Amino acid sequence: MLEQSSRPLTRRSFLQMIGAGSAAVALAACAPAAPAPAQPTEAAAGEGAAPAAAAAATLTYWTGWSGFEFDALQALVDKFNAEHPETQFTMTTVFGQYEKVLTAIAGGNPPDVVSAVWLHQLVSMAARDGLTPVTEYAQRDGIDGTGYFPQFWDAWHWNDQLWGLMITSNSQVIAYRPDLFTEVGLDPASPPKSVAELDSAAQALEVVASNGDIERVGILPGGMLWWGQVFGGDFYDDANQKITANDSKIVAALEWASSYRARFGPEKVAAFQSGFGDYMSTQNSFFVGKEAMTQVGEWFIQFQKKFAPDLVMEFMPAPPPEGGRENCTTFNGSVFTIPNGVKNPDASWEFIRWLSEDENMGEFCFNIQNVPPKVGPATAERFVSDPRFQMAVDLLNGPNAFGPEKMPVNDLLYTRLAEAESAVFNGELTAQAALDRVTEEVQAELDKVMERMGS
Amino acid sequence: MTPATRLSKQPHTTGWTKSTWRSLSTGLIFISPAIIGFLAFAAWPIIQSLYYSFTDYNILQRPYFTGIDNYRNLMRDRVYGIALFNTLYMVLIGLPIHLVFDFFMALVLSTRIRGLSVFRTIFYLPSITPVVAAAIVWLWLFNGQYGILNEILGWFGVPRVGWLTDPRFIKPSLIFMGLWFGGNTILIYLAGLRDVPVALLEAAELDGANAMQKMWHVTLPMISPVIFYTLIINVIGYFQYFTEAWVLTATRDGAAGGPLNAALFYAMYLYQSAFQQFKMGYASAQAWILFAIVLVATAILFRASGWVYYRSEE
Repeated sequence: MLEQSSRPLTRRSFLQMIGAGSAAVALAACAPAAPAPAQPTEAAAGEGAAPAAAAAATLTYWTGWSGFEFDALQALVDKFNAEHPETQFTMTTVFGQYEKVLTAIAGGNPPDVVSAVWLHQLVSMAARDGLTPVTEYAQRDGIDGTGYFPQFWDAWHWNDQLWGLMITSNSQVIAYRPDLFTEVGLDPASPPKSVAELDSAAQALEVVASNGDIERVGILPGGMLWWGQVFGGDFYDDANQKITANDSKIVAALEWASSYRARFGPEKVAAFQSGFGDYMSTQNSFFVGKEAMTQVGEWFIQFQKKFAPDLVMEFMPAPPPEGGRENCTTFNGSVFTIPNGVKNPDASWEFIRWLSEDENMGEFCFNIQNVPPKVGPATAERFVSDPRFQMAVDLLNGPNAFGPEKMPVNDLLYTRLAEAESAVFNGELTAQAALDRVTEEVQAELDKVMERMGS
Repeated sequence: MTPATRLSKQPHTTGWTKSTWRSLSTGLIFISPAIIGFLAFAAWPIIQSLYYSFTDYNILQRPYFTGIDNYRNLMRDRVYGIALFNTLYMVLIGLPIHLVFDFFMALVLSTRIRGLSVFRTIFYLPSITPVVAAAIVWLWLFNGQYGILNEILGWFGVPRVGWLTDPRFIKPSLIFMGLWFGGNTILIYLAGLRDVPVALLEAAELDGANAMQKMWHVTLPMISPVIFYTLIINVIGYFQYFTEAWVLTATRDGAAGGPLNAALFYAMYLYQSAFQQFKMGYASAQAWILFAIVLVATAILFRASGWVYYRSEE
């Protein structure tokens, strides 16, 4: 032994070591993670018993929430950790949903739970093997959709599998300022009921300086995903897998929204909007009175309480045109999912299941004023005692609540729609031409992805 | 005897001796961390990206070979065309403005005035500021209502401008902001100007040359290699233009590029394709085209570098 250790390493063995080492590094950097889909462990069926983990396992959870919403969630995670001494979750905010999450999954080192997946991205993540289905876990624990708003339970399914659960959701409304309504002689108790009424109210609320600079707008309508559906249009024909973004009603919606920019001049609107302060702050353009009406979700109640506590704010549903949809809202939300390749999916599921309990979900939702996706917590007195919140819940409960389309190229659709809006608002294209282009380009991508999935 | 001398003393023998091999491998072992690092983290990914550029690859699933589809689709991709146009705009318009401005600043800073070192420090400071932090400050300067730029315009009765929200203004705004980051180039020009032989300038003066003629016939030729160097470096840099534009145009939902994609640059679209749209193969193809473009641009510049005057060593 002594002899051996006193002898220097031979060149050959050293080079072999280095060669093996570099090969290992290269492989580690490139090897795609291809783990087997997780199955619920029978042993774990008992109340949170994790037999293998002797010491407390530290698990990671990546969230999309930040600021005060993060703090509210942290309180809940702390509670989970206290109740589960064997499983400790740490939480991190990740911005840029796909960038980090995808590369972490591909790198074989995903977080144990991710909620930085928007509902509209769920199918595209699932279709690309990024997620572990939780169908069997849900069946094992008797979670079958009872108690959830039906459209949510449906929205989390794709390809006959359940891919995650949400503990929050949202509903789109228009917030308005009664003080400004009164100031210009409008009745704050009866907000606009139709697009025509909205137009005249908005014009009454506008303030423009003598040199054409905008001081205040009534509203700057935008976001065709919502308005397109308010006007009665549909973006996707699921049966035929066809993008229908150039639906004549969506074209009408975009033309209408564009008329608001044309009235001021797009460069004036650009200058006006560039003066908006940080959205999540006291400088929010609605709080400082630059917008008398603004498109928000029920979560804006909490923003108002936090950043403009003395402001009186009311909600109204989007007023439809003739032939449009009454009480129309769209919903999205962060889905709690288990990435592909996690080491301890049982613990991941337990975290999601626990957060989805009525009490925990309700607690978090109340603290950030989001609608809980379960009917019970959502209709609890502490929520619906606020008529604004009641309106958000009613909209979600109504027949015209729409979630994202269940197809794998929503991200592209949303990007292209935003581009189309920008092009029309700046007078570069007509609404028809812009939406024709969206339809064509997104359809081409969808066809390609579908073909690849089939092959 | 060092390995080098040993090698040079026996250049034409039939082969290397055992001891030469030994010293060579010793040397290789010592630099192996760098070699391995390069192979694993630079060479291999580069080769892989060439392969991926011929595939449909979303990171999570196996790459699917599609031949030259990515390249063909890029030629038809409208947004790619916009990104390429915007990038060329920066290279052809932004870069010359940048270089001329920096040269002018270097001239001013090379005069003998009181407190010169203070001014030099001030002009260099932005270069040591992290780009993201500085860009966020510029976000405020460009702010439509509270920004100082519009405030100053307002004194003269000029209406507010949407520096970053108006598609016509956004690229000029970025170029304007870029001037502020010129410290490094200014420093290089300053060093170059220092190097212009005083004797030549004096000789020209004796021959009756005025300031303009001295500049044109003496100073510029003498520092032309420096100008050439900054040109090459900045052409490459401008083709990769990313950070400032990303910070100034990023929205809450992760999109970037400004209104009408007026500030969507090549590297930004490449990033979006790769990390926001799952299209790693498509992004790899873009990267290789960018490489080819930069290569050709650099080659053309070298070909056309007859105006560069290299002093002989004597």
